[in-house]
Amino acid sequence: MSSLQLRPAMLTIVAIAIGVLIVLIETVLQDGSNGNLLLVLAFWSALIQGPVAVVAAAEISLGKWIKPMKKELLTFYPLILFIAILFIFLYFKIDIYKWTEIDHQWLSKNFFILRNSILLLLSFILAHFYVRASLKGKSERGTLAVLFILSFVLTQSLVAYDWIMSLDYPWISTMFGPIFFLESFYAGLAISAIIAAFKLLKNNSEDIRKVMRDSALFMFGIALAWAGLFYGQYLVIWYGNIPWETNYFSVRMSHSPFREMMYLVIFILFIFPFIGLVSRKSKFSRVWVLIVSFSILGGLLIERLFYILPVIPLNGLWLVIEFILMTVLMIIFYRSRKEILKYSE
Amino acid sequence: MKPKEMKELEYNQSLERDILDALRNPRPIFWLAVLVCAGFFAIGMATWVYQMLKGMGVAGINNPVGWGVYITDFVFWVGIAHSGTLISAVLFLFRAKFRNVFNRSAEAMTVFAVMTAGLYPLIHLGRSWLFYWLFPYPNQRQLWVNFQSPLVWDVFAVSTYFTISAIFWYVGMVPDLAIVRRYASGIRKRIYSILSLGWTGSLRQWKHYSRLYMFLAAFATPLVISVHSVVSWDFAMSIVPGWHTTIFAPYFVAGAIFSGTAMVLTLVIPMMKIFRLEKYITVDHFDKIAKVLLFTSVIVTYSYIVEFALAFYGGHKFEEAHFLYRAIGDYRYLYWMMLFCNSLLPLTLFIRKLRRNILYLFILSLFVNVGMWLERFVIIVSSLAKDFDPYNWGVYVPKWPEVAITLGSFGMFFMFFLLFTKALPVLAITEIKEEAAE
Repeated sequence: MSSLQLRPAMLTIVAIAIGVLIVLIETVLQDGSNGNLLLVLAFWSALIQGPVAVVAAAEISLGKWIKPMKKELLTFYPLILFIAILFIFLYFKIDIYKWTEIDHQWLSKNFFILRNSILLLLSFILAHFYVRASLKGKSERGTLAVLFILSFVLTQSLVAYDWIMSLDYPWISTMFGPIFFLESFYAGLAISAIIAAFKLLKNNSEDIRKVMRDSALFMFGIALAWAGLFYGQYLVIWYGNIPWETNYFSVRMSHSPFREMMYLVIFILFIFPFIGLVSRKSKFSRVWVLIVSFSILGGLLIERLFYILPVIPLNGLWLVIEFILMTVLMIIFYRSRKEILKYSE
Repeated sequence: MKPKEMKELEYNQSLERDILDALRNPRPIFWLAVLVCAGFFAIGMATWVYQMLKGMGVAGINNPVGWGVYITDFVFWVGIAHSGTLISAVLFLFRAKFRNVFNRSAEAMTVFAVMTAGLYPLIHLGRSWLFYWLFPYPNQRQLWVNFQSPLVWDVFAVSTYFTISAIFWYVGMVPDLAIVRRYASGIRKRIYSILSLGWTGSLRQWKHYSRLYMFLAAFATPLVISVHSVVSWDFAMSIVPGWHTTIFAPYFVAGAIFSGTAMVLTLVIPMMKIFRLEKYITVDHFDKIAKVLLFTSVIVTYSYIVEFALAFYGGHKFEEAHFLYRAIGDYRYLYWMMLFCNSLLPLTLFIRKLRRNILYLFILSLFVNVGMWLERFVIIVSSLAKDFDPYNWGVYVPKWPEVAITLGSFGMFFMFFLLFTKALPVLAITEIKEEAAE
């Protein structure tokens, strides 16, 4: 694994190579229109921004629990730029959105790509300054953390409203944004717990054990909050019983495999972590926390599939390859964290 | 005794003395304040009786605006009520030590606010004496409440909430009541002895107490969130433009914490000055609670933006027309005032100096209280005044009985709070001692 530690220049080349590969898969190697790139962007943007947001939120609330894991989680921030650049290539897949056929001031091809890319870029810049200030312990780190969190909330809200919800235009749900940024935060905590659990293999330090425990504790809390938001959204739509609104869920709940996916998502993102992490002992169990954390990440992927799949098809084989590429990229970034953070400082 | 222990003992003794001083010898100004509040309360009650005698026609509510100031007041007070326990319980779970100086007032505020809120469904009923019809009880007429109605959910939610928040408040106070008992004499000693439940402060008692308190905090937090979500669903479950939106539950919960935090500041700042508690409630504490106020303001603003933007994004004509009506229609001044108080003004709290300026925080808290009342008014009234059918449009203006009853409810709330400051310890003595020791 030590061979995966790369210097910034080499890291940039690897990131570009992986980016080019994904773009090639999306534009040349695949036939027809599908939602692979959208799924890659929606899922990995949550996993990349989430860990940085967790650290920033802890910084704002003067939470000391994250300190032993701070550098590990901040190391993913350059990938926000990767997502921003990759997003531009969604332009070539824009026909997956039905709204491209209508005249809409907000939903127009160029504006759609422009606003989201700029926002992601802004989020990257803010993350960069925040990481630098945080690592050096500068006094302005609190302000920068707030600014990054704002950009994070805005970005993930647009992921929800713009990228995903607009697939079903004109269906709307105001709850989509909060659900998505909460999920990204959930992913950040799961990654924090996973890293802590793996670190405990090498170094059985009490501080790391506490990070794992606290991450698990927060995951338990967020499982409840997620269930509240998901249920709150569903209940209002079900009770209102307006045909154009209920159709969104009736399509997804009446047909296999979407119906099963929905139950699976509820189980993985709420019931399993809620029951699994309720006891004090379970939060200290390395294997158990790993199982719950990986299942949460899996649940988030299934949830995005649940939103996207009924509208546009996906190419399974290429999707797996793209996910492997993104996983490798994240692992390489994690392994090269010393170089990245030295460079950032 | 070591010098550190000596210092701790001195601090603890002075803390007990200062808190107990607050319980003794009310000054004439205190009684004057109680009298003014009781006067408002009496006016409110008298107006309610007048309304019952004359009928609901004396109030401004009519078709199409059947929910006016009374429901606005209900949601406002329920919001204040929900935030008290939420501030106290959530901050406890997050191990935020600054809560120790605010939790007692916040929890007291909760209990009095929920009592005030509870009056409004009765006032709004018209025939208030039939309130028990809201409860499912066996009766000869075979009437049964409509469990599908969010209003019935409200009855259960709010009454459950009142029970839990009162228990949470009381349990948190038991060790402090034992301290008061130690210094009291005569009938007061007897009352505090009963209230302190034989507390001796033994290790065993503390062990059980800590567990119970943690359990109550963990139980109260999701309960409050769910209860206030139910309040939001009173509106969101309908299909009225401006009400039927999925974000209402978290939006209302954030709004409740926001308004409650402002009310805590409104109550605690004068209390601190009057009882000279500056030694315990420091500028640092205010700095931190101001951050909570700012944070919740940002969430509320986010919700304003989302519901406004998505109304236009979705292209649904009724939603578009409704949000345009809010901004430029009959209630536009109230709408812009609401935005000024809830979204714009709290942004000043990004400036550290202002977060640490007590007078500024007090003034800001008053603005936020006004803004949050207006928010509820704008949501409720503007949606009903102009919904789907142009034939059914109309403008609602509150009449004097509604104003008098509203003032009466403020009188009742502040009167109870004033009496609380003279009857029970206003700060969590044991928790502040613990914080100081750490």
